[in-house]
Amino acid sequence: MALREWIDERFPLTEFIERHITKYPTPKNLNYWWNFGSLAGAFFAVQVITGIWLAMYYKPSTELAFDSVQHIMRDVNYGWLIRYLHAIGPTGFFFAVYIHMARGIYYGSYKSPRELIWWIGLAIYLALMAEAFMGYLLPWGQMSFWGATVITNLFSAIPVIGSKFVIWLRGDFAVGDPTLGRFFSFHTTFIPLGIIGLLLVFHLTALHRVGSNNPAGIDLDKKGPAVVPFSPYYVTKDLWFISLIFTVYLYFVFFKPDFFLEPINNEPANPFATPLEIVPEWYFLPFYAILRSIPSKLGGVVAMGGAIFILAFLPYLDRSPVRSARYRPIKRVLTWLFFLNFLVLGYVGAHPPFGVMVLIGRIATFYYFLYFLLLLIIPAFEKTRPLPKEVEL
Amino acid sequence: MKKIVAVVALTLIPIYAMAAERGPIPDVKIDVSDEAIKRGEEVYKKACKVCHSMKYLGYKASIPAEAARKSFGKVPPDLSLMAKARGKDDEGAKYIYALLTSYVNTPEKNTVFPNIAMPPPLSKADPEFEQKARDVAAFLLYAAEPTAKERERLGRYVLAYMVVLTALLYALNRKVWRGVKKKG
Repeated sequence: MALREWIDERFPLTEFIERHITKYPTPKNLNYWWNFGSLAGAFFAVQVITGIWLAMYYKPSTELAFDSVQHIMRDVNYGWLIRYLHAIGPTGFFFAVYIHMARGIYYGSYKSPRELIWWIGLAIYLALMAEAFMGYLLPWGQMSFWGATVITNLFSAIPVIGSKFVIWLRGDFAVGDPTLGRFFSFHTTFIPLGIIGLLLVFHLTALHRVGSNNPAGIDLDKKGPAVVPFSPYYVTKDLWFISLIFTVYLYFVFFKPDFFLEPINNEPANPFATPLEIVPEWYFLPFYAILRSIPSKLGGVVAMGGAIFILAFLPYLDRSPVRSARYRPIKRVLTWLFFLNFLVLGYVGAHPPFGVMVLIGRIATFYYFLYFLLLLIIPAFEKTRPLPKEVEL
Repeated sequence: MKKIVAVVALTLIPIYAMAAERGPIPDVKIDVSDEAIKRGEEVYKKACKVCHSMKYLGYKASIPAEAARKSFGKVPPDLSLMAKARGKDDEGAKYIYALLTSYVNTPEKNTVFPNIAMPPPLSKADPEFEQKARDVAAFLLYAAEPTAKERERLGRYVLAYMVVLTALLYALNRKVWRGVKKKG
């Protein structure tokens, strides 16, 4: 093909396609837990595309924001569809990302030589939380305003400079027009494209340098019978699975859009009336529970931040040479408990911290951190099962 | 410690206040047919529009907001999104129906919304009282999302398409993987 040759002399197009798609060696024994990375990528694409269209009609000012969202819902052709896709998309995105991370923890995908992939992934997760948090302010409803007020207020726990820092974050003494403007700017430009987009490229570049981990957790010969080229095998496997999950996603978009949306956010922001209950979106609930489980504001904030940052130390806390929890009987049980515990934290985060809820929250918070300590000490006595020599489909 | 107690108290007391504030919501079927919505719109114009605007439908309140505040102690809220602001799906409409039909002759005035500022907008003496409350609830539900019917109509085609697409992609994937050896 003449055009292809012309381009290849000037740009490594064919080389790129072969290296990353048609000839990229992928373990053939990957199970469906390995599908959630590409699923997250698909949700990211939906958020970017629908976000571009929303930004055409949305007005980032406290006077116009709420009305402009209703303009999109009522007057813009298929505006309701674009907005619901964008409002419910994060549920799918975080669902995919949490399972993707859980898979990494269970199969030891953070271990050498994949530490950098893990860290870049955590940075993506942090950026994603910031992205979701800032985006939630934009509709300028009651929960938008009060959620942003409560969360920015957390930074007042920083000793000495706390209250000044909060004003600096908000650009005003309270969440207001300057806050909305900066959140809109960060939400639509720097964070999704400058940070998340760029880190995604790094995430995949690092992955393609060392190759995917696999359920057996053993190193595979990249030229041997244990691998298949990414295309067509994982192109079709990823596509059909994305199609399946998107069917569920679109069911909610078209038939149950209220399910993941807070009714009170259909009231415009009112700084003089606090909603009866301020609850974060479901994907923040486990960390919200940790925040509330520590009976000190600063302590709560530190624990919440620590709960995320401790994940970065996994490659050093877990020193076992065996990657996959399949062959680690103790880590396997502890890890399933850790996942269950995370769900319990989410449940606690959704309920008022009274009575038994406080106790459950504290025990769950304790186990959350204990898990990492246990990972550090179990290799000393855990009897790992023998690793397979070859992989099975 | 004091701060956290204050924060917790501030976020929680209202939940109990809410539990105390809201009476039980009857499980009533809201008819959302075009006729019901049309009748509801007439009810709104006669009984609600005096004080309540519906700005996204172009309805202004008949009396100035200030006059309403002087009479009732607060500015009557805009009703465009009220049905969606008070519950998911049709819960908000049921709440509105319950509120309109729960006025009582006691000091708390209304069992669903005790100490409500709004005087009863519909008369219990009216033989169509219940019907009107249901219809105006249906109208408010429609008004909160006029594109809802179009959404559900289009959704059926989209879901049918997605189910077929998923099945085809699944079959394609099965075919692609058929020749791959089990071990390696």
